[in-house]
Amino acid sequence: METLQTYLPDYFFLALGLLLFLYMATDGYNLGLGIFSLAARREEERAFMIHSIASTWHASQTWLVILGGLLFGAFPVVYGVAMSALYVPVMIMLAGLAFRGVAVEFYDESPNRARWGLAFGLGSLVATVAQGFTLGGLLSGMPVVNGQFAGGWGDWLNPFSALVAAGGAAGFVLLGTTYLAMKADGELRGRALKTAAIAAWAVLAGLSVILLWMSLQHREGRYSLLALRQGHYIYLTVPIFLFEFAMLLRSLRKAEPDKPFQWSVLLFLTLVVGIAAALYPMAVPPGLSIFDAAAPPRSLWFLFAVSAVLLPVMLAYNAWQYLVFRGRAGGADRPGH
Amino acid sequence: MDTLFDSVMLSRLQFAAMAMVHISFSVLTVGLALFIAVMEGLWLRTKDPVYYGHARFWSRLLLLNFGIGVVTGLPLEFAFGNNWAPFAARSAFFGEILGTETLSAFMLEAGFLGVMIFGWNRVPPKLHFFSTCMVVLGSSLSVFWIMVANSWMQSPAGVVVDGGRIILTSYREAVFNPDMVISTTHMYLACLQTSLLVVGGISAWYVLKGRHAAFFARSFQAALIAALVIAPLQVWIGDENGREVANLQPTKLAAMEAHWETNPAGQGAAWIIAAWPDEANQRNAWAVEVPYVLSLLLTHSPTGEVKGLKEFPRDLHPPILMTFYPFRVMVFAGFAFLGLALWTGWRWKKGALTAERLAGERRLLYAWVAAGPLAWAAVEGGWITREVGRQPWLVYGLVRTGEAATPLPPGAVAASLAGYLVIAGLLTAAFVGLAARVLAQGPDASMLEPPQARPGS
Repeated sequence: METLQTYLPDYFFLALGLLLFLYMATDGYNLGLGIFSLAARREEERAFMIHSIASTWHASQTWLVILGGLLFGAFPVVYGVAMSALYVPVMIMLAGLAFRGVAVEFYDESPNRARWGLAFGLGSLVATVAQGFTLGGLLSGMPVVNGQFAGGWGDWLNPFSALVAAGGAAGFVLLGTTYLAMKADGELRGRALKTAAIAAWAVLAGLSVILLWMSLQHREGRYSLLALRQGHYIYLTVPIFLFEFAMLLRSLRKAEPDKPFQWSVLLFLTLVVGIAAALYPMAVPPGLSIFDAAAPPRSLWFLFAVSAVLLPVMLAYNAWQYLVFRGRAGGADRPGH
Repeated sequence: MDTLFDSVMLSRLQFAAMAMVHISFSVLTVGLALFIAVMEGLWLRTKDPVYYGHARFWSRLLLLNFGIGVVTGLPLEFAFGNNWAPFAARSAFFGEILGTETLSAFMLEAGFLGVMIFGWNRVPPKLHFFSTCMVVLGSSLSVFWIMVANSWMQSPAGVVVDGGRIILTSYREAVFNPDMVISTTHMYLACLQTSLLVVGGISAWYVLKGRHAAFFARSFQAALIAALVIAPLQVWIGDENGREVANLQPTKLAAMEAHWETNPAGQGAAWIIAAWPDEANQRNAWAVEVPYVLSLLLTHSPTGEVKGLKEFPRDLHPPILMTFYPFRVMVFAGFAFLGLALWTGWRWKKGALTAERLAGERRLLYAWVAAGPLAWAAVEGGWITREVGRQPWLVYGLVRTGEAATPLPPGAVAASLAGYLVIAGLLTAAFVGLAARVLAQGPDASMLEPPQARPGS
């Protein structure tokens, strides 16, 4: 038990990585679709997009809730430090998510659909950009003294986090448009695929600039992810990423039904794995490790038992719900319409 | 202890606003989901399409309510890190209970809601019913876990404080802390009571308007049956809860009752109907009292001792006014519901509530319509009492609220609070408008025809 106990922080590091990936992959396509809906040409198109996610967006957003809950329980110091340091982008993200969420539910009941359609799009855009700044702000490093954030309240706003926000938005649009390509037909599908290709190149460009910026920072002796103990692991994910990128472009060109979305999800998986590998064992770079930030052993054991049982169960019923609503989207499921 | 508009006070106001907004939607989710599950179960058993119609009709309202409930709950979770970082970092137990809640309850609701609302034609009826039950289970579990966390803040058991950190010594004691069972029951009943009053009030409104009167007479009767059980039960549990508070949090009890002086031996403490507490001079400027009743309520003896606020140092007094009056709102509402349930039960016994005769009971129906909004007043009043009455503590007796807040720049908190109020106001107004629109449309034909049985069902 004693030996096992030393690995509990690692387990939670992995579990949180998995939850981050699940959130990005599932709510990423909802938010990306929201951004793409701003370019819808007719209200029916926007209605189609909103209907295509109406049955599963709750579950997608709930991965974020679980990410927060598990972070709070397993690494309470990180939760306090990161959330207060990122106060502004987190608040903006919550506002964006609020408009996005209620817009999905209110859209069909409202006499003024266009207004909620716009709230859906703008809420998604705001939430996506704020999430980029949140992640970018965390990764750009936070000074921690005595378990409290010791930096400035505007530290999250920097060139690195701006790049992450831009790249993240492109990535979510990629997920959203490839998701739409599975659900839609005809001209809308064609446009989604075309946008997906542009978004894919934008992701590649964004990541290249981020990598370049990090190496320049590193060379000048300033902090970046590369300065961490395992920072160089990022380079290992580059060939995998490029391979997946090539396969994504191929499937987009062939206009395959499900493959572009699947490759996009894999791209995000590779990204999360790369970030996690570089970060380990840090919870908040540059200096707060998962071992320093972990809750007392009893708490970790408790949450380990709960999450090890429930995470697989959750994955199973989520998969079932996706299975129930798989395939082309239709409007016949709406209550009262 | 606070100057107005420092970041601690602003964080408190923000948390209070977020909690009060969120709770007004989540109580309805819990009870309405249960009501829908009961209707769906009755449909599967009796094959009566009226039950199916109710399950479909109320689902439409549930969805509107659920969406806004979810997005108003998210900021609350993040607030513990955003605004209360020292608390988040120092307290064992609270974080893992919240984590457990997200893992066991929230995904269960969200993971099955899609099938419950949109899956009627996609899965066999029994599997659909199962999904509905999972949503009910998820929302009920979320009541349980959040009340475990909150009751532990009211009566922290199973922990020791060591060098400023709270160390857990027993999960069993912490989860089953002295306040947990009674307050969880009180809260769950509040969810059911709010929902039955909403269902009953809306049904009464349709009957009054003569729209689908027979259809809504059915849900009105269901609400009445629930009310006859829940309204008296809630009064009894509320009374038990009050005595528990007297026991565990004597300062809160004294503030709730604006009770300054401990009653001398042989004299009873009076129950105050209304008063103006004068905190500066530690007395009530005026009070309307019923003699002996406070002693009777709390000790079941007309002269039992009830400790007054003056027994405790002044820096441990909660704000009196914001504890005293919200408590009275809740209590008066609770008794009003009991009266309404008894009145309706009496009319039922007289045979006046059959589908044909119900429309004639106009005064009764109007009372039900009015009782809906009062249900929310009771819930908010109860929560203000509970949380304001706990002050100056965040965790009663262990952590003071003032030392648990993030030292954020006040401007940032003020801006986020203002932003929250504007957005929550806008969304709530939109919700009310759209819910009214759904009600004005009423049930349509598509909701009244059950789907054909499918293979495998």
